[in-house]
Amino acid sequence: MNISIKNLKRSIFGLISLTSIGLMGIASAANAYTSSTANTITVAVNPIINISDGNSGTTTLSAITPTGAGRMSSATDALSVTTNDVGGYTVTIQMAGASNTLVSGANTVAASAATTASPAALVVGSGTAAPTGAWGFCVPSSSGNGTYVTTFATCTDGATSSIAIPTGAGHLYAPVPVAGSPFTLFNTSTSSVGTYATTVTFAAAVNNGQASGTYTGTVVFTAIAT
Amino acid sequence: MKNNYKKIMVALVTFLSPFAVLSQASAATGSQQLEITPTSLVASFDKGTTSTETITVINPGTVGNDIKIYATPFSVSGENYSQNFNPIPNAENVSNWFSFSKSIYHIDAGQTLEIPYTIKVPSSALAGGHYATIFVETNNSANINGVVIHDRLGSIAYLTVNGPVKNSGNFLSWSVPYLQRPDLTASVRVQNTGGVHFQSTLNATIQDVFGSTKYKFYTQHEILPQTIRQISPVWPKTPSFGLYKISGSIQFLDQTVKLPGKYVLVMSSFVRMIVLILILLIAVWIVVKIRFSGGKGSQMMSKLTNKKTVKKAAPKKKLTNKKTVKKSKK
Repeated sequence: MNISIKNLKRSIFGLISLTSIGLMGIASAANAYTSSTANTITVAVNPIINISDGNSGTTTLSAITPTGAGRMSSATDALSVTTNDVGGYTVTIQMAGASNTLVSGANTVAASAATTASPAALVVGSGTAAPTGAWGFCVPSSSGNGTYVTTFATCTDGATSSIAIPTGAGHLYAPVPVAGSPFTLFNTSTSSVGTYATTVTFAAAVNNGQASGTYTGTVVFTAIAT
Repeated sequence: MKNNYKKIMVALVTFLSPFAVLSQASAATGSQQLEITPTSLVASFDKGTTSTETITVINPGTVGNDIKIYATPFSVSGENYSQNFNPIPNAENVSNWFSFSKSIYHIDAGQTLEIPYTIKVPSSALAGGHYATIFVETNNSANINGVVIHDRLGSIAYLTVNGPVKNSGNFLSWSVPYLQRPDLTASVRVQNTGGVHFQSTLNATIQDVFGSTKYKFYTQHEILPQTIRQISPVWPKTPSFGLYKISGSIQFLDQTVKLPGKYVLVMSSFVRMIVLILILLIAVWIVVKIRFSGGKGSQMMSKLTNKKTVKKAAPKKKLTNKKTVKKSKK
């Protein structure tokens, strides 16, 4: 009997405790409810555009030891553009100046005689006959959401070092257009949060009529929100 | 004790030195990077006023860069808004309104630069829209055997000179070809018939035949005065095959134009080939089926032919009989 009274007391105590805790909970919840205020969180994300170049700003082609028939060197440059602009963006390539030749003092390596619409294998003349050299670019691969160039998809040379000038599919190059007439590598007119990535291959071919020297040209990749 | 200390130091240096070489190497061959914000400037000015703005340039790369900053004119051509940064003869060169206290800066790896510039609007400027581009360009020079790469980022300045100016535009078209290859593409055309730019906001949704949303577009564009702009939203990585419905709305000025739902059948070249092969197989199956049942068919045909022959032959026989009878009667 004593035991059951004890149990009863415990039960009542437990019930009262639980009820108290429950009431406290309700009270605090009610308190919380009555003291809460609408809190709108806003955060502005600024539009950015980023351009990244894998070669630290210089794409060095291996030195060419020319022959009468000509030799070619090529090198690749990894380019990527990232933006969070909701209007899309355009990526173009052009020369920094009005000429698209590679220059070494008074000597030049001419730009490829092909066009961006119809790239072709690099051609050099025989001996000192013009053209003694030619150079150009191609775009072997691209990725991104939008419209990008596919004209150059057959370029597969990658990096080469003073090899015999290859011809045919897989070795097609176009001249880099002069400043003011850029060639569009990528274009999107819609929301394109993400990255456009491409590899651009530059190649130069010369024969032994080309004066020795260090030939240089400046290419500008431009990315701009549209 | 000293010997132990020396040994520990030698061991540490020996252990860490390859990492030092590697880090130097990676710094030397690091990427040239540049980032700017904002990507465009939209601002209004009174005639004859001067305003100072800033552009933020960040170098998230691993090598420092010399950079140059300058302004060029900005115009567009065609409905796809092919950009032009060259001066147009006999047109106002808005880049002359811009001036920079310095044109060359150096930005270290990881550094952020706030570059101020000034826009001075001439008192003779016409009310309406005026456009230019601010370029930030890497300016590294190198004497190498090959190609020097300059990376350049542009921020377009859409400037409005306050004053009386017509602000109007039209929605022209919403077209979605019914049969497409991936990626699914639509086209909206908006015309600005006024003297100042306005912003358009396009929202579009692609749903499958069950009404489930597959992709959402959201894009904003400035429409320049006296131009038509074609905005072509694309659903990237559209599945190779499917029937979808695209609908949405475009907002500009005070208008909201509803873009009615249009169905698109997307079939990649591969799927089309498969469908073609299936059609050919079905055609072959039908031919085989006809040939297979050709025995019965030919039997039927021959029966029919026989019947006809009988029918045709019978009268002759009858006639012959009649004639024979007649002859016999005679």
